[in-house]
Amino acid sequence: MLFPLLNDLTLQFLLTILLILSIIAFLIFQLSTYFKKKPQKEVVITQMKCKPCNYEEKRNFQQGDYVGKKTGKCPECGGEMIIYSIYSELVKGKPKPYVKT
Amino acid sequence: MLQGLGQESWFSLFIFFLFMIIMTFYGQKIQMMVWISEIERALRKLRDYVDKSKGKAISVVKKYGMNEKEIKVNLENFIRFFIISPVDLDPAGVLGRLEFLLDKGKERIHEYASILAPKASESETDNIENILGACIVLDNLYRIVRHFLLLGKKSQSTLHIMQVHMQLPLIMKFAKAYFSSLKAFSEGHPIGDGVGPLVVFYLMDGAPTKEIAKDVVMAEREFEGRKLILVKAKGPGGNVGKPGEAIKKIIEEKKGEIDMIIMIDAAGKLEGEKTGEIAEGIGAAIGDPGPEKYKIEESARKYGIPLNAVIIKQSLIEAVTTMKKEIAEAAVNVVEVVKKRILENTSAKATVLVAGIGNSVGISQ
Repeated sequence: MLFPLLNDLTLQFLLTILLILSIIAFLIFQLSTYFKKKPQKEVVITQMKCKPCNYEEKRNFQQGDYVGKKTGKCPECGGEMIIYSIYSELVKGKPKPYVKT
Repeated sequence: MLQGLGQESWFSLFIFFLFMIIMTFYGQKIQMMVWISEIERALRKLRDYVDKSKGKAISVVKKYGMNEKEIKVNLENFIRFFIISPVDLDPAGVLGRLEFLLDKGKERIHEYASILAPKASESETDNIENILGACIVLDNLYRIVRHFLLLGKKSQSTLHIMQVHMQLPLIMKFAKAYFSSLKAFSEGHPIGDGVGPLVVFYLMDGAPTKEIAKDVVMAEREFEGRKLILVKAKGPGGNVGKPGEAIKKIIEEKKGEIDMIIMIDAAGKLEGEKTGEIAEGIGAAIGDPGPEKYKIEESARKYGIPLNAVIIKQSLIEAVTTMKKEIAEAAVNVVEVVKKRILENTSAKATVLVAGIGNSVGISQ
């Protein structure tokens, strides 16, 4: 029976609690999406390679770089270094300048 | 029974019935208001993408001579550029007409890019063309979404509002992909779609190249006693070229004496698949609207040349933004896959045509 139940203060109390809990859950969900983890930073890497000796270097992308561009002499064998690959990768925190590997 | 109810219970009952009445008569209206507010939020985001893309285009173009005011006027006129698809009620010859219209459209975009940036080099003009293309797509998306929103509000049609709302995640994904591509094109980074030309660049290994069709280059080299004919879009500017035209021309020049064709292209991954996953198959691996694919299939069929495909899986956003590390690494692996396929399926002295399909931005030859 619905009407006698509505008279019951305990039920009203439970419904109020349920309502409050639903509102709190909704707020937590909204806040969690607002403060969601910040995405990782993306850095663009230029990979250079010496064809004769396979020596490799990596650095941050510079304007004017393209795959196949000649970048100078190889420090190992004096051969010609070319840009072999340019790609992006995600890094945690503040991206650091890439140096020789 | 109702006589026994207290004042608090009457109040609860009143609230309950009020709620029922509101939900019965206005439930759909409330739902529509929620949908409209979500569409309006997405529309504001799209407007932001359009404004930022125009800003990016202006900042790139103003380096090449024209002043900002002139660029703005030209860009506003050009951004509404469209191509009307050919009539297909009589499908005979529709591919020829489609190719003609696409070529003319591309020529017009190239002309505009040259007008906006008269001092830009050939590859820079190609990149500006791609930036303009992205601006047109974003502006179109914004206008279409706005049209359906206003139409739905005006006619109070749930159908119009609902269909935009249902497609909103896909539309926003598409818009984000094009917006993100602006960075790659303005700075000249290779994009995910360029994995095909990148594989062919590795295979070319410095061999001399010549232009065989519009914005498509070819090179020839020896590999384990086989002759490789390598085809890719001309770089490092953002070109796709006409690879179908190039492949057809090579096949006709060689009078069909080609033992195998291998096409390498980026392909959309299914949800759950890894970026950079490699798959092999049969057919013309090219994602054009039709004319280029038709030429390749028809030429291969005419001379009975096996048509192999190697695809590298990636999402839409990965295909148009700076190449991800996984895709760059996959390109190196694809070289080995192609070499293995050639050695296993052809004998010495065979001629193999390898075509890397995709945008060559940031990848030379």
